[in-house]
Order: sequence, then structure tokens, then C-alpha cells
Amino acid sequence: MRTFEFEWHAERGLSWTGEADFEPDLVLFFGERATVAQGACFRALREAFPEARIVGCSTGGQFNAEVITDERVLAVAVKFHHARVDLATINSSDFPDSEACGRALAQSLRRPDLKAVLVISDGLQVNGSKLVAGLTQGVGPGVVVSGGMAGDGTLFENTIVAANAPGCSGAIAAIGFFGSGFEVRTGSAGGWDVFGPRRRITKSSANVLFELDGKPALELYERYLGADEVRDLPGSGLLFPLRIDDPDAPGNDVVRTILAIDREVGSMTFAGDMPEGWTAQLMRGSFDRLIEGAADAARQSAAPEDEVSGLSVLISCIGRRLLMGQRAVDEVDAAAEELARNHAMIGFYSYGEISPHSGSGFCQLHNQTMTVFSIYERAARIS
Amino acid sequence: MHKLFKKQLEQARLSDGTHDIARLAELVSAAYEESDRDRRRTDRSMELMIQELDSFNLGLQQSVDQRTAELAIATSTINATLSNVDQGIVMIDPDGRVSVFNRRFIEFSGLQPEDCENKPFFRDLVDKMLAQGEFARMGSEFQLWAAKVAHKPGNRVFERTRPNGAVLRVQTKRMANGGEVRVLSDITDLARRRQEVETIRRELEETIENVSQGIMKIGPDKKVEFFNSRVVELLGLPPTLLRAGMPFEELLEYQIGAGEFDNMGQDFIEFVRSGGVALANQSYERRRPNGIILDIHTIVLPDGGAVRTFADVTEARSRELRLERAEAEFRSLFENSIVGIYRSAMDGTQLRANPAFARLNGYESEAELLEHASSLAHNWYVDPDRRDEFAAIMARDGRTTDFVSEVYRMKTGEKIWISEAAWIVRDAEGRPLYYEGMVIDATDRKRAESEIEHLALHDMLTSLPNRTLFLEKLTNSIATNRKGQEVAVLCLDLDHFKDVNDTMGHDSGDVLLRMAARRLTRAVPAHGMAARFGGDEFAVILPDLRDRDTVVQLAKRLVRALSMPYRIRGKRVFVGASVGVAIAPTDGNDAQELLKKADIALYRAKRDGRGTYAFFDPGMTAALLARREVEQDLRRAIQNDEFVLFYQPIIDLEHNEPAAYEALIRWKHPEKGMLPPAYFIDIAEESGLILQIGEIALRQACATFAKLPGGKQVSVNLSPIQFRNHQLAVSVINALAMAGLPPHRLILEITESVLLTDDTRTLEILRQLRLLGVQIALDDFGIGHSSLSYIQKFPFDKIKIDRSFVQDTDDGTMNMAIRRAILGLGQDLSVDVVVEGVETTQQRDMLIFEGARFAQGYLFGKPEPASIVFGEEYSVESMRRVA
Repeated sequence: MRTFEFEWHAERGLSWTGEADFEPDLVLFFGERATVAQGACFRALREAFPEARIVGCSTGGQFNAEVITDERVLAVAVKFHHARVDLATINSSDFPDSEACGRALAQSLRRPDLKAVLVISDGLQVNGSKLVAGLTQGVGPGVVVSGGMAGDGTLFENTIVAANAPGCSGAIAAIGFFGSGFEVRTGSAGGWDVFGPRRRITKSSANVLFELDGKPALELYERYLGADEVRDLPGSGLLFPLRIDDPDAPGNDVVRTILAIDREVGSMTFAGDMPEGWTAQLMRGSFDRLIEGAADAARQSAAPEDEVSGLSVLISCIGRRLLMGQRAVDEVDAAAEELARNHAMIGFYSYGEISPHSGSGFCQLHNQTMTVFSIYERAARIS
Repeated sequence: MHKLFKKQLEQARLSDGTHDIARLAELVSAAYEESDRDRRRTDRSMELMIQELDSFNLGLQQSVDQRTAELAIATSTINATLSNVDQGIVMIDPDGRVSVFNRRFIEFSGLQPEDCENKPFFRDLVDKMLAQGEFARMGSEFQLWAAKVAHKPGNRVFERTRPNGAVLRVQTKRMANGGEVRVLSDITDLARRRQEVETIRRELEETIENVSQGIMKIGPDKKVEFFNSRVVELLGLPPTLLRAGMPFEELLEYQIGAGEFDNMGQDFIEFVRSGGVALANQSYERRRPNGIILDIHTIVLPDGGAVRTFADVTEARSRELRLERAEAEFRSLFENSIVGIYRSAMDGTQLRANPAFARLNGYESEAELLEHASSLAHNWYVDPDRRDEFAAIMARDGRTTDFVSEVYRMKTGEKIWISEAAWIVRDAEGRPLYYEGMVIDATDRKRAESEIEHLALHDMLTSLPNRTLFLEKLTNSIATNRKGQEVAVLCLDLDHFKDVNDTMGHDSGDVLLRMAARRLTRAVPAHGMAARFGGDEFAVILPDLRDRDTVVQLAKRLVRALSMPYRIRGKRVFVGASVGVAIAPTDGNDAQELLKKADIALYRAKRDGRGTYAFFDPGMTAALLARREVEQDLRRAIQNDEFVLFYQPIIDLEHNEPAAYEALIRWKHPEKGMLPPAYFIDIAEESGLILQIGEIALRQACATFAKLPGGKQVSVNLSPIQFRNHQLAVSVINALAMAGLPPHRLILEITESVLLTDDTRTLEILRQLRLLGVQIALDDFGIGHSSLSYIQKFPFDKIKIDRSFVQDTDDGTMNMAIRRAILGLGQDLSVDVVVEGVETTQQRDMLIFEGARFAQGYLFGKPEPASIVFGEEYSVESMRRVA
């Protein structure tokens, strides 16, 4: 595998210096919504890499080992020695629901030698939980599914996904990795601490929560937050996510971030489903613990020692960046330190992370986590 | 330098390398702000955690309080429970001391409460119990164990029997802290029950092992759980094949392999293989290859197991078969019997009837009978009392035979006679269940019986009552007529009836008698009775007699009726009738006596000149009665063969030897001795009996002389009465033929009186006889109406001169002259003359002198029996034997 990391700037263009014999199979790029939506970036990339599959999305900020940025578009180009890459793209508006979207993507990728799928989805029009359900069901067990939901800074207005085309909202791109001679490793961790009693979700509808233990959920939540934080809702809600778990199948616990509140009906909208009957527990994050979480996720996907080349795509929750502010760089640094320095690395802040559960291995939509997708290849001569 | 600050410096650095202080300050300030917020949030979360903790602690405290309170309650409950439970409980702490004990423990250990107080060592308590003999009934081994081991903590269960016989179960449980809880339960009842259960189990086992059935239990897992040895025996299995725990299928496979079901067909084997036989409640029989028939039952148990029983029903089946055959045989007898067979309830309700019984009652079948005549009890018998009599006999004797009754043929109502044999069928306790019986149609028999009865009391020929019935009726009439009314008895006979018999034959005589009987019957009033006693003897009873005139009228009417001409075989026949009457009570009250008196009156009437009637009159002479008696005696004598012939020789004077013998009849009367003809001939002639007596004499004489050597003749006297019989010639021929005597050896002697009446007919008979070769002699010539014209009329072979012409009398000269004249006449006519009554030699010499050839008299021999005259072999008895 050969990789090149580079940037695109509206005025300066690609920082790509070019290499004669380098024709990448895959180009990934991440930028703020206005930039990705504009199409100039994609056209530049297409011009530079006419044969490559080019996939990108809007974010809540993108980063690599060096920097976290909002203005610059960060990109990586990859040429695989062993893995073969295919791309499936759909628009969610063409399907009745998100689960159908997942099944359609899986249908177009499903081949016997499919090893892994990296999915980049619209972050607002798609129900990530359903998408993952449809996708994992479609590709079957044994295929690693990872990825994330596109972001829109702190605006939560519109997200854009570009897949071999200028970006548009509602799009979902699924990159399939086929063949052998490569290895995919994923990692996912939050670093959030639970506290307080475990409560039961007694009334909900998809990702809207109404009641916990038979009481209005918002009232309960606000009591916990305290007057200062309540003032800043829903933004401050990012800082106090809920951990939910299925009591009938313990160990599949996921973190859910608040996206919106409705004081009139006392409901809270989360970045993922809140199934009735599951338990919910309040979480809190402190800088150090979140940084530790990021490091943990990176460690999970770190390369075996003899791997000679690799690419890691890091997808962290926008909530983490908002919480940590300037300290977010510590998270990226901590993750980067766990990964091999000579391997390529690119990441973005998302509206949701998709990864196999670190405990159960069952692919789920996560919130408030650092999720890492790493692909490693041995040297061509070795294989 | 702080890593963040380094970043901030980088961010605030301008292109010329200097730093934007304001920007840096902003960044630093923001960083502080962020840190503060992070701290605040941490504080807040700490605060929340503390709140949570506090509330948790509060809950915990409440919980603890609540639990403590609960514990206190529980403890008191436990204490109360401990002291009230049936178990003895003792807890021993890790040091081996008693920490807790209850009342029951004291009770079960034989210790005192104070023994257990103050935490004594449990070991000491055990020692004390040992010393007190608590374990005495458990044997030395147990006591040794108790002393050394029992007090040590452990998990054990044992049972022991207390000195008072109570059985305890002791359960010890080591606790985590090294102590022990010991629980003592009184299981005396349980032990006893266990013993009982064990006994029952053993008995059950023995029972199961010893029942005649094979029993096998199959578990829900289709394995044989237990079985008795009878199973092995009945199924003919190898002794070691069947075992508990063996899959039932294995047994079936063995049986299939051994050909056990070969005779049951492949379907059955498939059925067995499919497990069908073990899956459902069922019963079936199957014949084993060795011929044994097994009755196999399977009962499925609620747990899915099954119990299967095998019974050897070979004998039962064979018995059933025999029973069936026997039943079929008896059924056949029942169905085909011509005797009616029934079964009825005690109240008469018909339960069963065979076809013959149904037919007897006019029905086609049993069903029809039962439908239409469900009960024969009270409307069957023509005489309803018969049913009660039947029930009474049955109640008394339990059975009856030949119970003859008149019943209705139910369907037609026709009356028939039946004979029943019936009996009561009883249950095991002897209670009557029902009647059974056999019935035959006795109508014919009854008819025959009444005919016999009729015959016994009636005359066959005329159907009139006979003497027996007549006497009965007469006796009854006399008995019931004591109140002044009179009863007349009339005796009748027909005058000259014998002539009809003799001339026209007995058949015609019978016809006449029947006609006479009819006339008689018509003439006698309904309340009277006419009877026939035999022959032409009739009698009539006329009871309720108001006056004699009625009898006179009846007697006259009878005479008139019977004297009317009879038309028989186209001929008019005339007979008369005579009637004798006796009246009760005037002439007596005894039936026999009355009858006798009427008979005497009849006799009188006949003597008075026939065709009339006479009343009995006490003045009727004893002679008449005697004559009547003689006549009756004669009838008997004829029947009893009381007549014998004596023989007197007729001497040929020329040769001085018998030329012939005259047969002279004698009556050998059983009481009066030998009677001469003078005693009875008159009466015999008067009564006509002379015909039979004459015939007897003829036969006897012919028979005797046929056997006698020498060709001598026998001379037999004939009565004039005999000549009235047209059959006389036939009688003579018969007598000769039967004896085998040549006719010329028979001489028939007649008197002149024979020729007096109707001489032409008499002469004709004589000529016929003479043509046969029989000689005819004229007897007693010279006396009475003797006339020479008679000699002229008929060519007699012999003339016998009456004895009076030989006797020496005053008128001797006259006699001698007549005698010599007759002898001369005989010589002239060439007729032998026999002189009778020769008693002296002078008389003989005289006769020889006078030229007489034949003589007869005492001089030559008295009339004497054949045995004397001819020798013993010619006695009457010998002759009869020869005959």
C-alpha cells in the first residue's frame, strides 16, 4: 500500500505535488460543509486522480496527526497492493427507510471475498442505527463494517456526502474492500464515565425519548445537569450523554448524544435510537478520561508489528470536540501516538460513529466515541 | 512549556515570527475558561454523585433499619418456631458448645433443660445420653460410634430408636463457621408406615410373582421395569433373556426372530414393530405357536409407561368353545323340540319360549308370542283357578309333572288340553328366579282318556251306559230320591233275539241291537237312563217317579217300540220285548237288589208269555227264583265247561258185546256235585241254553269216539229246541269235522216231540243229516203221542223202545205185546230196534227169545264216565288236553 496525505485550499488548490507512477485506488477527503458542497474540491481531486474512487463528506472539523482544522480540506490517496476496492453509492431519498438503504448498499457490494465496508453517510437525513442494521444484515457476519455520519459543524443543518461525484445531501457511500493479503482492524471507545442510578426507558419513539422510569425524561435530565448547564441546552447536552443497554442482551451498551430538546412535551432527541425497555444511565466526560478513551480506540486498531503499510481513518464525535475545546488536540495526539508513525492517518468529527462494539463485536451506531478504522497490507513481495 | 500553551503560541504566531498577543491572550483565556468549565462539570458530577450516594445511603439506612426490624421479628418468629416445631434442634458452635436448643431436643435426647443451659460441650451431652441408656436399643456398635464420632460436626443422616420405642431421624449439617446444626425428627409413624409399606411391597411382590397372570411394567422410556416369572413362562422366553432395564423393543425383536408372531401374519408383526402394541390401551388375544392362547392387556399409565398383563386363556377358550357347542346343541334341542319349552317370571311374565311353545299357542315365533301374549299367567288357563293351583304346587314341591289343564290357544282362543312339567329355577341363595317348563299338547291324550273312560262305562256296540255306569246312576238316584220320590228299574230283553243271531248271523244281530238301543234311548225320558248289560239284556232307570202309571206307560211304550219291525239288510225282522219292573224304595233300596228283582219280574213276564211287562211281586214263588238261579248257573256252567258225558253201552245181543254207546250228559256243578239232566234240561230248553249245551255234547262225543278204536258208534240225544236252529246240520258237520269222526259212527237220537212242530222243516234237517251218513234214532218209542205215522214219515235208522215196555208191571202182557209188535215192525222195515231199560238176565233172555238184537240197560252197564268205560286216557280232562 502506498498512501499520500495532502490538503486542498479554496485559494491555494491541492497541496499534491504529484508522483508519476502513483494511481491511487481510493481518495478520501473531509472538509466543512460549504466547501464540500461547492464541488470545486471534488473537481480538483477528480482531475488529479481520474481513475480513483473519490469519497468525501462534510464534518464538524477534520484532523490528521498534525492538525485539527475547520478551514482546510484534508485528504488521503491510497494505492493497495492486495486489497481491491469497490464503491456503492445511493441516495437515501430513493428508499423508504434507512434500513432499506443499508440492504441496498450491502446488495451491491456482497461478494464472497468482501472483507470490510467503510461507510460514509449523510448525518442528518439517515437513521444511522437502521442503516447499520440493514447493512450488517445484508453483508452477513464476518464482514467488518465501520464508518461514520457526516457532520455540519455545530450547526446541525445539512450534511453532504460526495462519492465519485460532487457532494450532495442524503447520499451514502459504502467502500468495499475485497480480496486477501490485507487486514482490517477497528477500535471504538468513549472514555465516558457512568454515574447515578440505572433507569429504564419506559416511553420512546425511535430516537425520541419521552420517559425514564415512568417520569418525564427531560425533567430528570435537567435536574441532574444543574442550572448552569440547563441554560446552555441542547449544546451542553453533548457533555452529558446517556449510556443505554439492552437488559435482555447485556454488553451491547452504546452512548447516545442529545441532539435536541422539546420543553413543551418534555422530550429529548438523540443521535440514535432509544429502544423502550433498554436501560439508560447518565454519563459525564472529563478531558483526561476522554483523551484516554481516544487512545484506547486507537490501540484497539493498532497494527501488528510486522505490518509494513497502513491507513487509519479516525472518526470522533463532534460532542467530544465541543466538550474538550482546545484540548481536543490532546485526543488526536493520544490516538496518533498509539498508531504507527509511518502509517497514514486521517480523521473527522462526525454526527455518529459506526463500528463493531469493542465488547460484543456487533456493529452498531455509536455516539461520543472515537472510532478507528485501520487497514494494513504486507509488502507486495512478502505476499 | 505546557503542550497546550505551545499550541496556543503556534496559533498566535504571526508570519513574521512574532506573536499576536491579543490572540494568545484570547486562547489562553479560553483555555482557562474551558478548564474551569471542565472543573465545574467535574464538581457538578461529583455533587451529583454525592447526592446519589447520599440518597443511596439514605435508602441503605432505611433498608438496614427495616431489615433490622424484620430481623427482630424473624428472630422472635424463629425462636417461637424453634420451640414449637416438631423437630428437635440443637446448634453447636465451632467450639463444640451448644448455642441453641429447643424443647423438642430436650424431649428427644432424654436430657433436662438445665443440662443444655450455659453452653455445655455437646460431647458431654452425648456422654450423658450414653450413660442414661439413651442409645441402649441401638446396640454396642452404635454406642461406640456415638461415643467417639457422633458428637463431631459433619453432614450425616442416621436413624435411632429411643428406649421408649420412638424412632428418630437425626440430620446433622456442618455450617460454614465450623459449627453444626442437628435436627431430630420423630419418624416413629413414618418408620411404622415404612415398615407397613415394605410389608405391602413384599406382599405385592409375592402376589405379583404368584398370580397366574404374567405382569410386565414398561417405563415411559419403553424399557422393561419389572416383570414376574409367569411372563417368562407364558411367553416361553429363555430364562435369562428378560431383565429389568431391557428395552421393550429388544423383547419384541427376539419374539419376532423366534417366530412368535408367525401365525399372526405380517401385518401384526409390522404393528408390533411400529411399537403400536405398547402405545395404547388395548386388549387382544393371540395364539402362541405352541397353541397356548394368551389374553394380553395393555394399560397406558399417565407417565407414558404401560402395564401389560398376559393370561393363559387356552382352557377358558376351550371351555367356552365346549360351552358354545353345548349351548348350540341345547339351543338346537330347544329350537327343534316338538315339546313346548318356556321360561316365565314368577308373576307369569313370559321370558322365553321355543318355537314349539309358540306354535302350541298359535304363534309363528317366540317374538310374536312375547309380543302378543307377554303373560300367560291368568288368562291362559280356561279355569282361572288352575294358575293358583299351579303356583301352590310349585311353592310346595318346587316342581310338577304332568300337570294337565285346559288352556286357551292364545292366538285363536281355541281350547286345548296340555300337560305341563315345570320347575322353579333358583339362584345360588335358593331364591326363586323363574319358572321353567315343558308343555305338550295333551288334547289327543285327554280325548283318548275320556274315550277309555267312556268305554269303561259304556257298551261298545250301542254306546249305551253299561252295567257299571247303570249301577252308579241307580245308586245315585236312590240316594238323591230319598224324599218320597220313587225310582223305577226296568229290565228288558228281546224275545227271539237269538233266532235272529242264529238265522241271520251276528252282524245282523248287532245291527238289530243298535237299532233297539236307539229306540230305547228315544223312549226313555231325558232324566232317565237306558243301559245295555250284554246280549239282548237292557235296563232302564226312571227316577223321580210320581206314580206307577208313569212306569206302566213307559213299560208299554218300551215293549211297543222294541216290538216294531226292524229292517235289516233289506229284510223285515220281528222280535218282541219283555219288561220286568222293580220300584225303589218299595222293592228295596239296594241297586243290585232292585236289579235282581226287576230281572225276576222280567223272568215272570217272559214266562207269562213274552211281549209284556210285569212288576216285581214279593209273592213270586221261591221255585221261580230257583229256576231263575239255575238258568243263571247254567250260563256260567257253559262258560266254565262244567258239562261231561257219561256213556252207557248198547249191546249187540247176538254177539253179546257193545255195538254202540249212548252219550248222556251230566252237569258237574262246583257246589252241588254231579247233576243229572232232569235237573236242568227243562230250564235249558226254556232259556234256549240247550242249543249251546247240545253243541257241547255233540263235540265231546265226537271227539271221544274219534279216538276210540274199534269203530263203535256213539249215540247223542237232540232236544226239539235244537231243531229250531237252522244251523243244526252245520253244528253236526262241524263237530264231526273237528273230531275227524266218520259220520256213520254218529247216531242222533230224537223224540217224537221233535216231529210234532213244523215237521216239514225238521224232516228236511233230518234228511240232510242222514245224507251226510249220520244215523238217526227215534227215542222213547211207544209212549206219548207215539204214532206209527212218524216211522212212515222218516226212514229212521234205529228205533229205541222205551224202558217201560221192558219193566215187569201189572200190565206186563200189554207191554210184551207192544214190544213184540215194535220188534216185528223193525224187522219188517229193516230198522234196528234197541230195547232200553234191560236190568235182569230174564229180561235179556226174553228179548233174545223175542228176536231183539240190541239192548241197553243196567244189566249191561250204567252210564259212566269215559275214563271208566274206555279207560283213563279217555277221561274228559285227557280229551281236552288232546284237543
